Amino acid sequence: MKINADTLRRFIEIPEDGRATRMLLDDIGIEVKRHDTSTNKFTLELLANRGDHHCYVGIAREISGRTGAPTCRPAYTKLQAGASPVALALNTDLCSRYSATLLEKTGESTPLSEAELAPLDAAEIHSVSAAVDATNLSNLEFGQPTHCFDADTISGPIQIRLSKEGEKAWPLFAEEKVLVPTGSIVIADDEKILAIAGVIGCEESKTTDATQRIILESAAFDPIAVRKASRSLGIHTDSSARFERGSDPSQVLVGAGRVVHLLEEHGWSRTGDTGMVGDWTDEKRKISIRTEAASTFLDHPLDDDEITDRLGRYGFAVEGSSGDLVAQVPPHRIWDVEFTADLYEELAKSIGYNDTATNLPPVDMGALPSHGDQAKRQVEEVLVGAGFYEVFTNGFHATSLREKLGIQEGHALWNHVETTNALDRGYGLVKNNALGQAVEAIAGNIRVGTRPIQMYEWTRTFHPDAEAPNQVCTERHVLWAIAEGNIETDRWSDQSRTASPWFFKGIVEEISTALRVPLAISPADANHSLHDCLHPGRQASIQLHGQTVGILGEIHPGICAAFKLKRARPVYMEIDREALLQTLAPARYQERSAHQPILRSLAFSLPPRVQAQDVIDILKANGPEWLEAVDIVDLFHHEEDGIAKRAVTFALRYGNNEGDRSADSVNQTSEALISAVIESLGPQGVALRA
Amino acid sequence: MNVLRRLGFELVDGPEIDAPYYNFDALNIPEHHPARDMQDTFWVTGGLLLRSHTTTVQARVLESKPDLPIRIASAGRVYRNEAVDATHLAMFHQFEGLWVDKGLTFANLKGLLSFIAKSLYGEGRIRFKPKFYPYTEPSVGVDLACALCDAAGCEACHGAGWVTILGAGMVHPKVFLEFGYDPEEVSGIAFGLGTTRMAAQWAGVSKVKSLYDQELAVLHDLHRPPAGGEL
Repeated sequence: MKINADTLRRFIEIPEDGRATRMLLDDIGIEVKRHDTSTNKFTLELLANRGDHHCYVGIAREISGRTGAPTCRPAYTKLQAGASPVALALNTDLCSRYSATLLEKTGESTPLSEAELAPLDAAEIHSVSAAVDATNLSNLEFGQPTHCFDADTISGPIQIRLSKEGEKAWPLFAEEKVLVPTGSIVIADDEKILAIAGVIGCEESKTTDATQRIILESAAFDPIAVRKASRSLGIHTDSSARFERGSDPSQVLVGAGRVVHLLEEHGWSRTGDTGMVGDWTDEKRKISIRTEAASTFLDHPLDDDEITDRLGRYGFAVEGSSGDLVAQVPPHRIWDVEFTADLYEELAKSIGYNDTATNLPPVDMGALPSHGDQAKRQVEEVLVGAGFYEVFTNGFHATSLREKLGIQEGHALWNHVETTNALDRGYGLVKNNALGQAVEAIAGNIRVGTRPIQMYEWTRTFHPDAEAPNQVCTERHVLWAIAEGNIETDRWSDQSRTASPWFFKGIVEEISTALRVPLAISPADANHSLHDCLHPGRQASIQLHGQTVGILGEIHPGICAAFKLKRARPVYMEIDREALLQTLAPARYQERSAHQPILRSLAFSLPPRVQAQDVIDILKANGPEWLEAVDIVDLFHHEEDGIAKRAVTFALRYGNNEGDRSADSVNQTSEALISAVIESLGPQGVALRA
Repeated sequence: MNVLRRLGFELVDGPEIDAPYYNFDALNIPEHHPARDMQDTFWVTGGLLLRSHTTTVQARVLESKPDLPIRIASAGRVYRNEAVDATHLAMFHQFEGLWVDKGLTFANLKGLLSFIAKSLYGEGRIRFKPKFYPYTEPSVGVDLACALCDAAGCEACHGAGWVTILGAGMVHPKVFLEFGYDPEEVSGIAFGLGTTRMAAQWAGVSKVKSLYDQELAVLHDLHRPPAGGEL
């Protein structure tokens, strides 16, 4: 809303200084977005629940609540409800009051004066005619929308009813008739719709220069009904903005009276009484408030008289004594005041939000970061330390991204959760993988000449799942990282290296060490949803306790081509967040033994298809609990009978905490372990080396 | 979060795709209320939505009825179905907190907000102003005096003199009633920070979109500004 400070001054005393006025308005919750010092015009951002702020009277009342200054109202004709000048038929309970007043042109119709039009000018509402200007002015001043019909275009009684299915109306400024949403409140005669109630009038009954008789409408319509109609038709007016937030039914005759007063000064005369239908009565809602509780809540000393005075400035009538008060809600606040807390807010505003006490509540003690918080920070230290930047991608995929990734129907990544009302086509699908955006980010950086590229993100992917608790999808939390180009260029040694799966293997191992989570790099897992998006021969799975929890590898050449990545070989890594942030048993210090452990070395010859880890697993599985560690300490490639083999030496550390372990018992155990390995892997060519 | 941990707050997570009940209805934002316009919403298949604020997490925590006092914070992505430009994004980040206990007051709300503001921004002047949030009553906005003009009004702050940094309020009685709490017995403080806007302010970035563009040259300069240069 845009208002003029000079006009506002006609309603209440405000500071002469524009900046001070701005501070005052901000202080009472009527936020000034812009102050044009040349015209003394303020652009206001009004609170969504305060329809009563949409007029000068409302703003003045809010200022009065804070400053205590008296308010003034423009002159208006006091209308009496009586015999209606036109038959009225109210056929819906979504209109609580409807009034009609007849005005006739009895002299020369003159336009409103420049001074009278000042509020319209500030609000950037163009002057149309005396009748239209008067209704706009009344709305700006009193917050009561009104509308003028050309009385001679109306045939039969004025009906206030709900629209029927298929019914059409011709809204003002529209090029043709439009379908009215079924069940909207409409004002109609026997032949046509005269207005979409509370939203806009219609062409066929509008006033023109030739109009001799006016039916002036002033009413109170249901906020939700007006809102639905306005949104369905895509027509938003000052009137609809006011009604949507809840109008003041007590102002129906006041608003009309202001229009009558203005028109009577410009060549029009009222004929007869004002017709009124509707069963609205002031419910006189009452809310109790205890003086002591209010004082405690605001930490501000209050007494009964002060509460009565302060709430009175906002229009609340307060009764009661001895600390037990009851406030009656005025009609202009029936839409937003329901609880005692609402009254506390009025008191706080009246005192001033910056003038009440400020006390930090006492707390017992602080909280430590959770294990998850700490683990996340440790992972980030590894990544940032390795040169990665954290980035943020949005939660969407365009359908074209699915094509670029080569995802075909039936693939695990084919199905997406879909948005149903996205304004932008690029937001049609909710993302089910992070790789696509990662490659897009690589392409974007290469386009602007940025290399090397290293980035990571904690994000979520969304997977359609009718079995999920919400029956729509599950959310998967992942950490992804991508790298491309010659990385680690800032090293002191001036030795950089190219991003590769081996680089990410190292990153995973560093994360594993930092978190004490035994992540392992294993051969590719064809069941991983991203398996097809990575180079078939340059990828690996990331495992935890034998379960796949992530994947790493080079982006598939086909995807690189789809993203026009020439001579670029980005490498991607993704790990389930839950695997990284899982809660571990806290590490505890163990007293070191005064006795040295006993070490033995075993060397096995392994054919290419047998992994050293397989041997370690057998040794650990068959060893006693005092076998503390098995480590690889030597690797030697050789040939036996023309077959390439590896000689791998394993160091076995036997605990000897009590100092009572004999060499014989250790040797016997080692022999048993050798037998276990040969028994399991001997058929595959594993042999003990002498 | 480090600031709030000193007061015993713990970080809690929640889904990004959620039911409208947690995003709106449970938070005193009924259907067709103008407040729903404040947050243009992405609806997804199955009648769910992409959360438009992290307050959904507060609703879920209240629903679980933990022991008092409740001191939780939530952070994460939120979504708005808006036309995207340099200053408007379809996704950005929020950070919110909730403190529920017996006897919390408006003075406590102001005390907590002052503590947060001063911990984050130092001794810069702040002011409180009335706001409207459907799930709090009374509602408060916290402004920080413009660092360049100290609230006098300058070009950088568009003449306002102040920059909004926090939105907050006392938990609305209807929200308590929705989850079976007696608003006469307990009271609550809820607050939220636009972390995207905060990050942009901190970095001196006028167009928040650049924070989400994954452009490493920009991110590099944000972390290590060129000597004597400004973004």
